[in-house]
Amino acid sequence: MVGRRSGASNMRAKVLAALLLTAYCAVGLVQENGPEDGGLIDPRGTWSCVLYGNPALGDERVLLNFAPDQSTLMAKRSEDAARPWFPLSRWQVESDLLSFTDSRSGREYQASLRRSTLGGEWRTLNLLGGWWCTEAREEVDLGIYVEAREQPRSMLIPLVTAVMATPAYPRQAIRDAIEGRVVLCFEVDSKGEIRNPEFLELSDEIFRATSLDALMSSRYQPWLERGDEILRPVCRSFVYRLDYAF
Amino acid sequence: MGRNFLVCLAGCLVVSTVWAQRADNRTIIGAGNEFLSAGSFAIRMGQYDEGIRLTHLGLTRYHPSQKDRAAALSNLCAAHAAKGEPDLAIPFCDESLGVTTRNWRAYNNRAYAYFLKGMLSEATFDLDTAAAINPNGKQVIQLRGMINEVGLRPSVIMEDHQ
Repeated sequence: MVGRRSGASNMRAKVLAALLLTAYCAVGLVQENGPEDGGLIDPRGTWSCVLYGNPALGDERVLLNFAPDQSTLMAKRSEDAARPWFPLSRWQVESDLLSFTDSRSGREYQASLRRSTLGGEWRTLNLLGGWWCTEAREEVDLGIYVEAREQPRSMLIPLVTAVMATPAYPRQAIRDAIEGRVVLCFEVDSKGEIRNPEFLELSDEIFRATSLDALMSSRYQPWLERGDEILRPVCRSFVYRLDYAF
Repeated sequence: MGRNFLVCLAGCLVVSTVWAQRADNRTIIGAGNEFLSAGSFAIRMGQYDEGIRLTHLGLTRYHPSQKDRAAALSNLCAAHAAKGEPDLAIPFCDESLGVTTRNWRAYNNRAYAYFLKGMLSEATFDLDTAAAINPNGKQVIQLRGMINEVGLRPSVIMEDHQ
């Protein structure tokens, strides 16, 4: 009897232990992955995001991937299947704040993981914007993943403007009170010269000549001493604004 | 640009007078009030002092209708503004607009006078009123451009995206 009672209590203890273990694991998992009810969001995975606040670019739709090894990848959202993923800085979490950096645009991203969805703010030296994401059920295609270490060192050095010509505001545009925006994309050769400019956006024909003149009067500092000729893609936005002086 | 506008102002606004609103507004013979007709013609030709003198005579020697009187006062306003005398011009425009508020040329003339005085807000307000009555008026569009050129501060913000 005693033996049976002891066996039963052993069994009960085992069940209790198992329940406790399960509960502990569950709690651990919840704490690690982030619960739905007011805990921290687990950023790991792929997210479909909107970056906003840049007056020149408007809303940008990108995919962000936060890998378990703390590497961060970004891809522009497009229908093109061969979508390249670009490496950003490693993501890190301090208390409840996620942060990472995009060295190409100079943006520092931050997000509070206590929010209901992933998102927060980004800032550069002179701009402040925001971003928010929804979870994307999409895997990173490593076949087109651009490894940072595989890129030539020169590709990682930001282009530095040597001469940045400001376009003259067309007089007729002032008389007619026309404001506008132009985005020109081009390539920069290793000597810093601008090549192959193309208009990505032109709000009014009146700004075409003046924008192109200013761009072609600009140049960058040479960024490759020797080696093969490599062209680097760059876009420049011009925002033409008129303010009342009275 | 200002000179062109003055010529245009004198040439076009003066013909606003009722007697000169016929198909060929250069025909001034037999228009009723000879002084006013001659005055308007003189102002249109750029002879502002003569135009002012004749218009004053037309206003005092005859008793023009209210409509003609409003047009003549607007012409005096235009002539003084064209001479670069906005302080003398504005009261004539005010008086003209006191007679009738539907004369877009009087608003336009007063806007130009304000523009000469550097009172761009007032000029814009009058110009908006003139444009509301006659949005396609050549002088309205021309004066709008002049005000914009002086009153708008252009800037270009550039940013690179690498």
